[in-house]
Amino acid sequence: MAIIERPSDTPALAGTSGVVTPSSSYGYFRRPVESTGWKSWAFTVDHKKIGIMYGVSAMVFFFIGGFEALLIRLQLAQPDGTILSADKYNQMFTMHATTMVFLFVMPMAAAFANYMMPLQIGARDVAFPRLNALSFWTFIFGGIFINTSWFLGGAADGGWFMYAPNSSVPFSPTNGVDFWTLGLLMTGVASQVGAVNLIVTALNMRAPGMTLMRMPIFTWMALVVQFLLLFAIPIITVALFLLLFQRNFDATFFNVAEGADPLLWQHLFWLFGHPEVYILVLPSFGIISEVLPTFSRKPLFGYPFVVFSGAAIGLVGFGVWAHHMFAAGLGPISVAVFSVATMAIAVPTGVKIINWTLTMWGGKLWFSTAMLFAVGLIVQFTVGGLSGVTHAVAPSDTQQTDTYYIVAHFHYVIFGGAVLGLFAGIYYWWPKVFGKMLNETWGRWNFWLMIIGMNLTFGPMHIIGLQGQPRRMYVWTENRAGEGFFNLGFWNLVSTIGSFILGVGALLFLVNIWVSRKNPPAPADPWDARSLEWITQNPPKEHNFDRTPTIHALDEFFHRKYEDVGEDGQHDYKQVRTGEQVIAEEEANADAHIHLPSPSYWPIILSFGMLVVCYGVIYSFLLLAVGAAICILALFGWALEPPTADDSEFDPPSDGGQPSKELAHV
Amino acid sequence: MFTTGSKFLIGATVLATVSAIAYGVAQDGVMGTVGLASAAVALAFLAGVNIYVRDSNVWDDEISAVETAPAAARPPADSIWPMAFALGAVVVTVGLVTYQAVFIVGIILMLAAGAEWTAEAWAERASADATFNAEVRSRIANPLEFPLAAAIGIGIIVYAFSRIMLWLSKTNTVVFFSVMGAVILGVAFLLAYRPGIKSRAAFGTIAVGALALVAGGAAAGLDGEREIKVHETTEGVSEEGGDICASTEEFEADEKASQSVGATAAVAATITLTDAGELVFDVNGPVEEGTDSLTLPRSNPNNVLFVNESDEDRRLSLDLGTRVVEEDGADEEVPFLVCTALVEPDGEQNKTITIGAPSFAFPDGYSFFVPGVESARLELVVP
Amino acid sequence: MESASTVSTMSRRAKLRGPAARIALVAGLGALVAGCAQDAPQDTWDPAGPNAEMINDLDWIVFPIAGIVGLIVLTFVAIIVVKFRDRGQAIPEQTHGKPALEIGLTILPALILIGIAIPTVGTIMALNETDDTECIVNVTGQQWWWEVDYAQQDGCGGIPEPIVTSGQMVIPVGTPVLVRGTSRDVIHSWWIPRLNGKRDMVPGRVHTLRLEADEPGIYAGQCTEFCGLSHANMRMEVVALEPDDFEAWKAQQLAPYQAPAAGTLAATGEGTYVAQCARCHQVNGLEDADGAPVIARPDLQVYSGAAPNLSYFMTRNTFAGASWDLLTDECRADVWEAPPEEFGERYLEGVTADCLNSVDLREWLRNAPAKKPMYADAEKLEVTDGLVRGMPNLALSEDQIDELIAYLLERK
Repeated sequence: MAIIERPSDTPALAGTSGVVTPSSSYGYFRRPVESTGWKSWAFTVDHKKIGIMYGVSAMVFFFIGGFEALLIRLQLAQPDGTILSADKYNQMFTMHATTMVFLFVMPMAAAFANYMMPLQIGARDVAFPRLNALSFWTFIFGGIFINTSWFLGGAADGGWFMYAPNSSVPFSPTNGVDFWTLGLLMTGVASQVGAVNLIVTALNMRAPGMTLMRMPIFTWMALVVQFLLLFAIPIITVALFLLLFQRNFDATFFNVAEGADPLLWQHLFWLFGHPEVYILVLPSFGIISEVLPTFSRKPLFGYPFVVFSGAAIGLVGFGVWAHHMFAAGLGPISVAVFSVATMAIAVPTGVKIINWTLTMWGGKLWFSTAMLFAVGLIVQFTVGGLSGVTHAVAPSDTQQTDTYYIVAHFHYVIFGGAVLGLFAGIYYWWPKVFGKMLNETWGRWNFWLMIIGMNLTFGPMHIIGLQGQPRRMYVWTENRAGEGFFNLGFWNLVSTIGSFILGVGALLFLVNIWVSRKNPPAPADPWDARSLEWITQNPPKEHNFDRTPTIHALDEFFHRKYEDVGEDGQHDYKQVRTGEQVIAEEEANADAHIHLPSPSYWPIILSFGMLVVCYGVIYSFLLLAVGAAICILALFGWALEPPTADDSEFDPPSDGGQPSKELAHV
Repeated sequence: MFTTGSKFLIGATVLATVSAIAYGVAQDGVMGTVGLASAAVALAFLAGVNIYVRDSNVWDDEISAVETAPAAARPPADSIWPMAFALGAVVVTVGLVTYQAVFIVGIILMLAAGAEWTAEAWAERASADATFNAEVRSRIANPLEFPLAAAIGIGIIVYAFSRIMLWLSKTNTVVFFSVMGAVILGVAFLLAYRPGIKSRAAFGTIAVGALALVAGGAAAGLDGEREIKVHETTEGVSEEGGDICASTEEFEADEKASQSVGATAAVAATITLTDAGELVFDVNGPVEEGTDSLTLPRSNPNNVLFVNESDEDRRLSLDLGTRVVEEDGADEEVPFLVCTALVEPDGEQNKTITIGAPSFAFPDGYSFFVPGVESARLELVVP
Repeated sequence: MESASTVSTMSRRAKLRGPAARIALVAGLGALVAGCAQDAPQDTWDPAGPNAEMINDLDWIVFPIAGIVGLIVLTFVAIIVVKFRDRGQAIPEQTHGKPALEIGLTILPALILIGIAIPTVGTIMALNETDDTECIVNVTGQQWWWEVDYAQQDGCGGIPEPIVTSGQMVIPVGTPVLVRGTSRDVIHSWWIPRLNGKRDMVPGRVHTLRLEADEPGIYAGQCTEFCGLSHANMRMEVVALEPDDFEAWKAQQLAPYQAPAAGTLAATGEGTYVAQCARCHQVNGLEDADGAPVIARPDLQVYSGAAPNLSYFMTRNTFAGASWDLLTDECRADVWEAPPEEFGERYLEGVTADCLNSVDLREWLRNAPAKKPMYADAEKLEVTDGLVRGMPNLALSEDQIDELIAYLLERK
C-alpha cells in the first residue's frame, strides 16, 4: 500500500542514475567452451570427436552383440540344449541382430563418414555441426534404451524383422517389442538427420577444384549411403509407428480379424530392409576402395565405374525388396520379376570386385593389416555374394529361405563384407585419428583368427541349411540331424567352436589397442597414401586444414608427392616431395583467421528429452509430458543460440590477452 | 490526521460490525453472523496495523527515501496486464455461478495475465535502460507468446466455427459454409482491388467478422449440438437382434459400408451370386471335385469375397446355427446370422468370418444364403 | 617411406604366407563341403517328388556356375597376391582403368545371369502349376501345431466325410496333392524339403502348394517362419502310402467310435477324458454320461481357437506339434526306416501298447507347458482375454494319467 505522495516542489529526478552496461549473457546457460575434460566431449560439435565417440560406442555394441551370439552358439552346440530357455533364446537372437545391424555396423560406418568425409573434401567440419552432435547422442541414447529392456521385463523377442502379427500384444505381451520399436525410432532419427547433414556437406563444402569426379571414393560411397538412408529410414519409421500404435493405442493395422493383411508389415519392412543391407556394406566398399590403391601403389581401377556401380546398387536396391518374401505367397509374376531384378543387382557388385582385383593387378602390394582385411573382404564377400545369387533363383530360395543357408549368406556378406571392411578402415586410419600406429603383429593375429573363426562358424552353416536345419530354433534334435560323422550335429559343434575362435580374434583387437597405447607418435604419412585427408597432421588440428587446399586431381596427395617424368607415353614416377613436406607447405600458408562452430548443450539435452519421451510412452503419460517439455525447451534454446559463442563466454586467458580459440588436443 | 488507507479500513470495520449485529438480530443461523463478525475482526486488525505504519507512505520530508525508493526512480510503463488479470478474476467469479466453461476460460486468462505481468515486472528490474529491458523481454518471451497466441487465436476461431456447424442442421451447414466462403472471398477481393482502403477499415471489417464468428460460436456451443446419429454396422444391427441378415430391406448399415473391406488378396473363397440366382464358389487352385459344399477351417479369420452378378442389390448372409446371449440375466439361444452389407450389382465385398464351433455341432450345419433369392444356398462345412 | 619399408621387410614371410594361406583355407573349407550328413530327413538335395526335383534340377545348374565363378575369382586373387607382392619394384604404372575391359567384364556376368534367369523363370511358372492336382488337403497352422483336414471330395480315391487329423499329412503315392493352407494366429510356414519348397501360411490368406511323393515313406518337415516361443517345436511329416494302403488309412479315419469295454481302465479313462480333455480335444462320436454328443469348443478356451482332434490319435506316431514320438526308439526305427514295400503296412499298425513311448506322453500329460514352452507367464492371461495359449497344466494325478493313456491307446 505504498503510494508516492509526490510533493510538487521536489527537484526533478533527472539524471539520478547513469546507464548500466548490460551484460550480453543472461546470467545462466553460458555456453560450454571447455576444451578439455568430459565437457569437451559431451558438448562437442567437432566432427572428429563425434566420429571417435561413434566408433567407441559401436565397438562396445559389437562386443555386446558378439556375446549374445556366443550364447546362441553355445545353446546350439548340442541337441536339445539347455543353456538358454526358449524365451531367452528368442530374445537373444533378436537382440543380437538388432545390436549388430543398428548399433554396430551403421554407427561404425557413421564414425568413418563423420571423421573422414570433411577431411577428404577439404572442409573444416560438416555443414550442421550441432545436428551432427544430435545424431550421435540420439543414437547412443537409443542404443542404451533398447538394451535396458533386458532388465525391464525382457527384450524384444520377435526376430529382428519383427513380423506381424507375432509382434502384436497377445503374442508378445512384454514391453520388449515396445523398447525395440521406440529405440529404433530414435536411432532412425539419428541416421536421418545425419544423412541430411552429410549430403549437404558433400555437395556444398568441397574444396575448390574438387569436382564430384575428383572426390575420394570413400566419400562417394558414403554419399550414396546417405541418400539410401534419406529414403529408407522414413519407410521403417512409418512401419514402426504403425506397430507402436497397434501395440499401445489399440490400432488395428495388423489385426487380421479387422481386415488387415499381415504382409503389409513385410512389404514396409523389406522396402527399408533391403536398402539397409546396402547401407551396411557400401561404406566398407568405400573403405577398401581407398585401402587397396594405397597398398597397391596404384590408383583405383575404373574409378568412374566404381562410382556409378555404387550409385546403381543404391538405386536398384530399392527395387528388389520382395526377394525376402519369395515364400510368402506373392504369386508367380511378382516372384519372377523380383527374381530377375535381384540377379540384375549382382552385376554392379561384380563390377566392383573386378575393379578391386584389377587395382591390385600389376601393383606393388604391401600387406599391412589393413590390406589383409581388404583382400579378406574381396574373398569373403565373393563367397557371400555367390550364395546370394543362388537365393536370387526363386525356386531354390523356397528351399533355402529361413534356413541356416541364409544365415550363412548374410553373415558372409555382412561379416565378410561390411565388418572386414570396417576393420580395414580402423587399421588404415588409426594413425590419422589417434596419432599412433597399431601393432602389426597383433594385427595379423587379429586378422587370421577372425578369418579362421569366421569361416569355421559360417561355412558349415551352408551345409546344415541345405540339409534342412531352419533358423531361429532354440533347439535342434538328433532325429532331424541325419546319420554319419558329418551330420548336422557335427557341423553345429564346429560352428560353435569357430564362433569362439572368432570371439578370441575380436578380443585380440582390443589387446592390440592396449599394447599400442604407448607407441611412439606415428609418422606424418605412414602408408604413403593418396587422398586428401592425409594432408593434415596426425591427429589433425581442430580446424583440420591450415588453409583450404586447392584440388587439381583425384588422389591429390599422391600427385603432390609424385610427378610423372616419363617421356613418349612411358610413365616414370619420381618422388618430388615427401608427405611431411606437403603438409609443411600447407602449414606455412595457413589462414590467419579461422572460425569454428562452438560447442553447445542443446543437442545432448534434446536427445535426453527424446529418451524420456520414449520411457514415457511405455510407462507413464506424465513422463511423456515431461520429456516432451524438455524437447520443446531444448529446441527453443537451440533456436535462440547463435552458432558461435560470444567472446565474453570464453574464460579470459591468464595472460590477459584474447580468449584462445585453439581447442582440442585429443 | 488519519491517512487515506486507515480511513477506508476503519470505515470497513464499522460496516462489518454493524452488518454482523444487524444480520445476527434479523436472521436465523449462525453462519452469516460468524462470517461477518470474522470479517469485522480481520478488518479491525488491518486497520490497526495500517494506522501504526501510516499507509507506508513516503512523506515528502523523508528526502533520501524519496530519492532511492524504486517507485520514485522510474514510473512503470502503461500496462494492460493488471486489467486483464482483474478481468480474469471477474470471469472466474461469473463462471462459478454459471457455466464451468466460463470458469475455465477465466482461470486461463488469470494465469496468462499473471505470467505476463510477472515477466513484465521482472523485465523492468533488469536494468535502468528501458529500451534494453524491452528488448530482453521481447527476446525471451516473444518466441513463446506469438506461437501460443496464434494457436489460441486459431483454436478459438476453429472451435467457434465447429460449434456453429454442429448446431445447424445438416443442410443448413452446407448453406452456411457456402455463404461464409463466398463472403470471405468477396471481402478479400474488395480488399485486394481497393488498395486505397485505410488499414483501419480493413482491420475493422475483419475484427467485426471474427467477433461475429466467435459470438455465434459461443451461442451455438451453449445451445448444444444437433442430433447426430451413429452409423450402424451389419454386426451391430445383428447383435441387437435385428434381422438385417435375413432381410432384403435396406438398412442404414448398408449405406456407405464403412466397416467392410472392399477386397483383399488370397481370400479363402470367392462366392458369386450368378444371374441365375445360384451361389457358386471359387477357391485358390482347383475346386474339390465331387463336392458342392465349401470347407473352411474353424477359429480362423477367413476372408470370403462376395461378388454380386445379379441385377439387384443383394447381401450374402451366413447361417451359423444358434448362439447363446444373455438377456435379462437369463441365457437365451438365438439364431446366429452374419452378413455383408447390401452390394450393388457387379459389386464385391469382403467379409472376415471367424467360426468357433464346428458345423456338425448343429443339426442343420451352416449355410450361405442370399435373402430374397430362394435358390441361392451354399453349404459350409467347418470340420 | 623408411618406416614403411621396414614394416614390409619385417613381415615379408608372413606376407607371403598370409594371403596365399588364406586362399588355401577357404578352398579347404570348400572341400569339407563334401562332408555332408547322410540321410538327413530334411535334406533339400535329396528330392523325393517331382516339385522338389524341378528345384533340384535348377540347383544343379546354378550352384556349379556359382562354384566355378567363385573358384575363378579366388584363383585370380591368389595369383595376384603372390605375383604382385612388393619385391622392391618401382612405382607401378598408374593405370586408371581400361573401359573396354570393364565393359566386357560387366557384360559377361550379365550374360551368365541371363542364362540363369531363363530356366529360373521357367521353373517358377512350372512350380506354380496346380491345375493337375487331384486331391486337396487343407492345412491350418496354429501356435505350435498343424491341423490337417480333408474336405469331402472325389479326389484321393473319394473322401465321403471330412477327415481331421494333425501333425502328419497322409497322401497317396504318385498323386499330386494341393495343400491349401492358412493360419489361425501368426505367420507359419509349411516346409517338407524332400517334396517341395516352403510356403508361408498367413492368417487371413490362403496359399497353395503342390506336393507329390514318388515313393512310400515318411517325409519330415518343420515350420520355417518364426512364430513365437515354440517355433522350434512345431514340426510335421507327410506320409505317403500306396493307394490301397491309403484306402485302409481312410477307413481307419472314418471308423465309427468304439467305446471302451465296460470295467476296463480305458472305460474309466473315457470318463476322465470327458471331464478333463473333451472341452478342447474333439473325439468324434464320444458321448457324455447323458448320451449327448460331446462337442469340443476350444474356441472358448484357447486364444487361437483350436486344439488337435484326438479321434484317431494312435494312428499317427508323433504328437504335440510332431515334437515328440509316440513310438519308442526301436519301434520308430521300424516304421521310419522301413523299406518302401513294407512301409505302408507298418505305418498302418499305428501305435500299440508295447510300442508306446510313455515317457514323453506322460511328461506331457503331467505338465505340458513345462515340456514345451508355450507361456511366457502362465499367470498373465489378460493380454489374451483370459484364454490360454496352448495346453495348460491340468495338474492331473498319476492315476488319471494312467487312465487317459489307456483310453488314448484305443483311439485308433
